Amino acid sequence: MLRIYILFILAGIAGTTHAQVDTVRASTLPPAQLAEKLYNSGVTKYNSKSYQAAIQDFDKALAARPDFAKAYYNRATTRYELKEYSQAVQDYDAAIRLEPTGHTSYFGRGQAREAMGQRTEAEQDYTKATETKADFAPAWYYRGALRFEKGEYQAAKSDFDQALKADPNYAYAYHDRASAQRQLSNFTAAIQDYTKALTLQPDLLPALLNRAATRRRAGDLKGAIADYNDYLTKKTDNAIAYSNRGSARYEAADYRGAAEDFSKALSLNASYTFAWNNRAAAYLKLEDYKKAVADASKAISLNPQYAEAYLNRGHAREMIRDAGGACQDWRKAAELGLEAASSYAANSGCGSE
Amino acid sequence: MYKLFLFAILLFAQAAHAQSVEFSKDRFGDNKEGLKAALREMKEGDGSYDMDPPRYEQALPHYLAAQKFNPDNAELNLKIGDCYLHSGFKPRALSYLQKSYKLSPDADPRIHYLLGRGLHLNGKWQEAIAEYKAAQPASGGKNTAPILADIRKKITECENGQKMSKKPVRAFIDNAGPSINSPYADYSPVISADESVLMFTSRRDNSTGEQTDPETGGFFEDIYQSTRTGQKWAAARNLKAPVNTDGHDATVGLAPDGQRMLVYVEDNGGDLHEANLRGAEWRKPQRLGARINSKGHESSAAYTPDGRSLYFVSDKEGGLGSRDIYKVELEGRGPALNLGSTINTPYGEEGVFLHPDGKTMYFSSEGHNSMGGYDIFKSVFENGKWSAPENLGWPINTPDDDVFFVISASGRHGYYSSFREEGLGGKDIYQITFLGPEKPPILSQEDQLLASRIQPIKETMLAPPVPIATAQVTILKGVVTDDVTKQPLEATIEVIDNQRNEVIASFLANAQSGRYLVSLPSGVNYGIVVRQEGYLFHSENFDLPAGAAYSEVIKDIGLKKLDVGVKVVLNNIFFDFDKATLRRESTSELERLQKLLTEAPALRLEISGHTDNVGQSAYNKDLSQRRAKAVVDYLVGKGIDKARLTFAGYGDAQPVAPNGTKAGRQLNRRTEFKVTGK
Repeated sequence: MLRIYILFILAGIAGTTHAQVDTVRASTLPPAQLAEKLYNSGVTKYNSKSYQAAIQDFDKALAARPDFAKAYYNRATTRYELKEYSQAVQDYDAAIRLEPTGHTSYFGRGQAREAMGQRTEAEQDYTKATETKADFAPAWYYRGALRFEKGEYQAAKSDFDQALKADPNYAYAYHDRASAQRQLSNFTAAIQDYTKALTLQPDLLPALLNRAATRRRAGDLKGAIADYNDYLTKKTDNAIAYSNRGSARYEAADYRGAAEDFSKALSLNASYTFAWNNRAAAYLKLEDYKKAVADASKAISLNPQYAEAYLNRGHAREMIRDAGGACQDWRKAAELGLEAASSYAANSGCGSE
Repeated sequence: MYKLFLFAILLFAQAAHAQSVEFSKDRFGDNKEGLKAALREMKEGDGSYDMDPPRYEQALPHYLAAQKFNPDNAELNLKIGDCYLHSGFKPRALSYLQKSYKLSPDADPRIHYLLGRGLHLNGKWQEAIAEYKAAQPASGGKNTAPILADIRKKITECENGQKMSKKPVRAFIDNAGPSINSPYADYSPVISADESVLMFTSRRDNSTGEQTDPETGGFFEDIYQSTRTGQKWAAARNLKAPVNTDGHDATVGLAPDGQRMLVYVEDNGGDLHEANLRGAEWRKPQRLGARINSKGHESSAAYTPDGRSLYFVSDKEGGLGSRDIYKVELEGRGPALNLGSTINTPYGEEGVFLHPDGKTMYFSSEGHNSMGGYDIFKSVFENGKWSAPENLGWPINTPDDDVFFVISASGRHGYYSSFREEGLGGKDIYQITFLGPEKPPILSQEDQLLASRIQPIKETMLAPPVPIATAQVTILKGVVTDDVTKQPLEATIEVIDNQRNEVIASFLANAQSGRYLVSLPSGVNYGIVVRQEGYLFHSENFDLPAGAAYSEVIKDIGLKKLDVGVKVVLNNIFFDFDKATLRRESTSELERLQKLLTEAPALRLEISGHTDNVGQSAYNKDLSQRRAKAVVDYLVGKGIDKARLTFAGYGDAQPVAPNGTKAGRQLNRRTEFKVTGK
């Protein structure tokens, strides 16, 4: 019986968990193992990112030994890298047929299916992976992410719990559990988890933005703005971050500061619709109604279905004595689903303007 | 040396700046003529200023002329300030008073109080409080109690103003424009509920008799009227005789339908009169009875929307202090009742107005939490009592008098008059557009909530919606005509509470135009019956649940003469759902039908039931027939000869509107009668 050492190459848990290939230590192999040699050559090529060449090696290895589960698995992984997802799924199928207990195959197939948009099937595969190996953190994590995206925040949180049980240093799992907590309105817990994620991985800057947004929701505007400031000293090219700090400043009644942030966001991305809309709101508060109308109009020109921008422009138009225009905008906002807008219209004499 | 020189200049400059300049030859020796003229103006001004009571407005132009000659006399500046404090443009007083104080802080012992007034009237609350405090006499002295009480009240007013001006009411306040306002005083606007008619008082130069009042100098008051088309008011026209006379004639109140007007006439200490509109002509105003008019001063009044009661203001004896608001039933015999201490205060109340919802009263008061002078307040009559009056807030109310305020049925527009620098001269009429609470803008933001995903997730930061109070009244208006000739009819419009089977109000459509307007406060199932001698009655139904928001319904009504073949829909006959059982609310309509048959013994009717096209045709036909029979049974039960009545169920066979819409189906579900013989 040969002892085969398997090396896991985990190139960072994040995102690249699927880039996992096995290698067989050549020194322990008997001389005539052609398939294994080809296989190892494939692994080397994979690691040097020569994916096409790697596939050719795995092809040959499989020709030499059709029941070589690991070769299927590695070819699948390589195909995933080449974004040939459906072929990747076929290879994972073959690997699973040959080796039904390979949790990484389920996991890899889940990733490929997710990439193809087959979320239900992907979730089933992640489930299978966790059933096969309960302490396989990535499977829990990715299933949690899928559940999060379905709005099942409690279930997502349980999955992230399991991921962290399996790997207590899993920064992404902390981050995403924080997001689940936030969606569940457990703001204190969310802030703790974002903080932990940042401790484990200080360059995980979205955690700062998300912690800021959570602090804002929890009513800690000062803390929120501090986090945005921190983020913006590290990363100055993110329009979303400026816009979101603007929103926090707006909520702190610093309308001038808010308008500056929205302007900065727009200088970074002139087609950032939210920033146009938000600056319109800030100008409304600053009683600069003409500018508010202009900004909201710009947001509407970028997205003619932007209900909030119609609503805000309606407010501004009312103040510049354009009652007819205001009514039109409120009605449009209502038509696009903002219920409050229809009561604004009804209570502002619309219809008799 | 240089330093010393500079110091000397500074000293000189300061002294020159802060010293009162006397009207003396020493000072103005080089302009003796000018000095003489200025002194003459001073003397003329003093003549009016020193009268008891002082005639500030007459003194003012003379003082201003003298001040032009010598702007730096402390005493004169103080007098000008004092005159302005008693004029329309009170805020102008401040700069003169401040100047007087700067020139000579001790020129007049009243200076701190007057400065307090000047600052108060300019909305400089904190500084005003400081001056009022400085004006407080040492307690214990002779006659200090009323002075202290006055100052304490003024300080409280400043505190109220300070609070309210921090949270301004969102409203546009617009001059009603040159078609309404003149360079003279224009005030006391009253409106019909739908804002189609505006009447007001003006002292412009084309007043009836073209005489000026010897006491105040201005032209006598006359009443003017304007009508509105779209957003524009037509040029106001003088109502002429018999409403306007050579003396003072002033508007006080207008019924919601604009067919009755309350007029203030300055006799018997100030009395209230009432005028009726017949066709296009206003009849001569008639004095209201002794239950309303006393020897005292009755100055303001408003009709309840049913036209049956009157709220009015009087300073007659027995009130709670100064002027109070009373309520009286016009047709009753009982005395006028004081509204009590929730509304009336030891201070003055004035300018009462009742919203067409029948329960919201607007009035002005110098008491409650006024920010100075009269402020406008609102109170709602609910569960048998008036709510605590609510100040309409800054900037509608100001530190000066804000009074004679009226509001449209929609609650959207208010009208009142005030002195404003931007006006057309004198007091002007202003239209207030209430914008309601701030409408919160909505911001959008997105966050990247999953570390392994790059797609941001959008979220909308939505401020919670704010409740918006709207008027809870429906205005029903239109024109009543002969259905065939289309001639307007002066028909009677009865408003009936179907639940209580009671006529709650009755109005006449205008004889010339056929126009009518009724206010229907929410919370009642109304039957509206329009009748005219020689015509069959017409009935409408408005079932308005409590809390139903404001709406305006235009319904033109054609009355039909009694002829064979004529059909009339009985809109106030109600059945239990899916049954042929008459509901109690139908009583009023059934009694009307019974009366019609009794009064016209030869009349024969077919009562028919109709449904919409929902459900099985055969079933509908049967139900409608049973329902028609139920009406006939009722009438026979009340003694109407069976032979005069037939019944039929037509189901959905005779629709009067397309069944495609909810409104159409509602019109089709009906009970009607057809004249089969007369």
